[in-house]
Amino acid sequence: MRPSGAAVALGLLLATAGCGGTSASRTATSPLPGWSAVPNQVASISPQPAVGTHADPVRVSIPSIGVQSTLERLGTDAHGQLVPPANPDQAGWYAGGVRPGDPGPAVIAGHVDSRTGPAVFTELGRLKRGAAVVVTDARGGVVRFTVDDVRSYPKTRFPTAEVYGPTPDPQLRLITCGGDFDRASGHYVKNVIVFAVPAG
Amino acid sequence: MAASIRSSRGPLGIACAALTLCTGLLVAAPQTALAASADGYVRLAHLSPDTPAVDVYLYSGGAKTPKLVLRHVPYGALSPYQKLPTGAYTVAMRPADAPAASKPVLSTKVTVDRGQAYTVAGMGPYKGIRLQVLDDSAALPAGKAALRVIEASLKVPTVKVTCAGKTWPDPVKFGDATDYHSVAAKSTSVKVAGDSGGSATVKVPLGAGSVHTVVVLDGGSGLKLLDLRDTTTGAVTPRGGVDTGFGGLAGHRSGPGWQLGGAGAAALLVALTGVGIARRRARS
Repeated sequence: MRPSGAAVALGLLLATAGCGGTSASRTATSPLPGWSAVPNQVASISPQPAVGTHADPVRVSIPSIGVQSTLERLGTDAHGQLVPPANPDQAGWYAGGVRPGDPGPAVIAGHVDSRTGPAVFTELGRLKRGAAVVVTDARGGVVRFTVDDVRSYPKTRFPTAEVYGPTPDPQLRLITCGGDFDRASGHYVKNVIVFAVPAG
Repeated sequence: MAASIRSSRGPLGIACAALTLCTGLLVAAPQTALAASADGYVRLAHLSPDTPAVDVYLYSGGAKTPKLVLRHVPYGALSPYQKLPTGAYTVAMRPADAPAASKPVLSTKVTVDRGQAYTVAGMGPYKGIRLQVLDDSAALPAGKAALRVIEASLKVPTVKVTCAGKTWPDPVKFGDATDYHSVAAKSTSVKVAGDSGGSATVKVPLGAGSVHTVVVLDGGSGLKLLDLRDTTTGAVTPRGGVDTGFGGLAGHRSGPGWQLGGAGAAALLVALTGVGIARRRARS
């Protein structure tokens, strides 16, 4: 197996970054060529990935299921639970979290249905791995994600760490409802969660 | 005093979390699953000041062919996070340009768990260099940030760390990495200072939910500090799921969830063909 393209690129990056390094001095007693102590080396710091600086998101588009929606800002209620969008036809971004495109898991939620019919995320559970999700921010910046996984969990076992837990890279989660509708509580018993990663 | 965050996992980790959350001193991070996909993250580093440049190899499982090779990695260099499928890996270091088939001077195993992030670094002095696997996963208290320090300077081999005006009680010794410390979320100065002189300061953007590592390195004159952004989460993590449905499609064939394959679909089929419940029409 050959190293992947990304791996080669990474190697090149480091090789480039290493140009300033002190070359190893070799001694006759060294059992391995190039392997002996090098006193007084100065650190060659490699460039780190730039930190995202995106504005608040204002629109989400998921072409494969025909979703085009502006975004409401979502917060949490007195119990600390995420408040769903007020309008069934509009998705919402959890504004107490991460902006899409910035490092960490950004969260967008939308209703699966209204009281009388479909809503913005009715088709979310149909999304296939590899599908595109595009988020536009308030400055017109566009961030592209690719669907990595679509999963369904009972709300009683919501995977908080997987949805909201820390990540090194920019990620996106799309959440709606699924499973049976509990008429006593007036809510669906499951959440359908789409996990998406930066495209390309 | 800054609280320390340990990224322990498993039942023991959960027990620790319960205890430490009660005492309010330590914040444990049980089951600190990060990303959702079946991948984890590894970055590779050379942090041994008097060790020559190395070639770093990463092998999947028992494979003979490396999955990743980083050539001529000098002291102070650190790769970006590499996304890797979960599983067992071996990281090996060879002198720069040594044949790939030659015996590595260092190697270590690392198990990549789903969503977890790791730094695998050659640390310590040339004579005692070790490959250390650092767990970069930390679950934060709401609204807080976290900071860890790696001491990789021979010039100033013991430092005291001062973050946001508070000095950490334990000095950090050469070749060591601290646990993550929970700190106030704000952009702040992090200062490291040796007992007998030698100090440096770096501004660290410790936003709410951000986890950073500051690496103390030997510079051309004195110390050089490298600020690394490890992982990030939101400032406040909501509790539980979200009620995103009003029931208008409930029970209809085109209703939510039927498209999910496997057990979910089977369960829903049972639900659909089961007790008839009066339903509103989904689509007119």
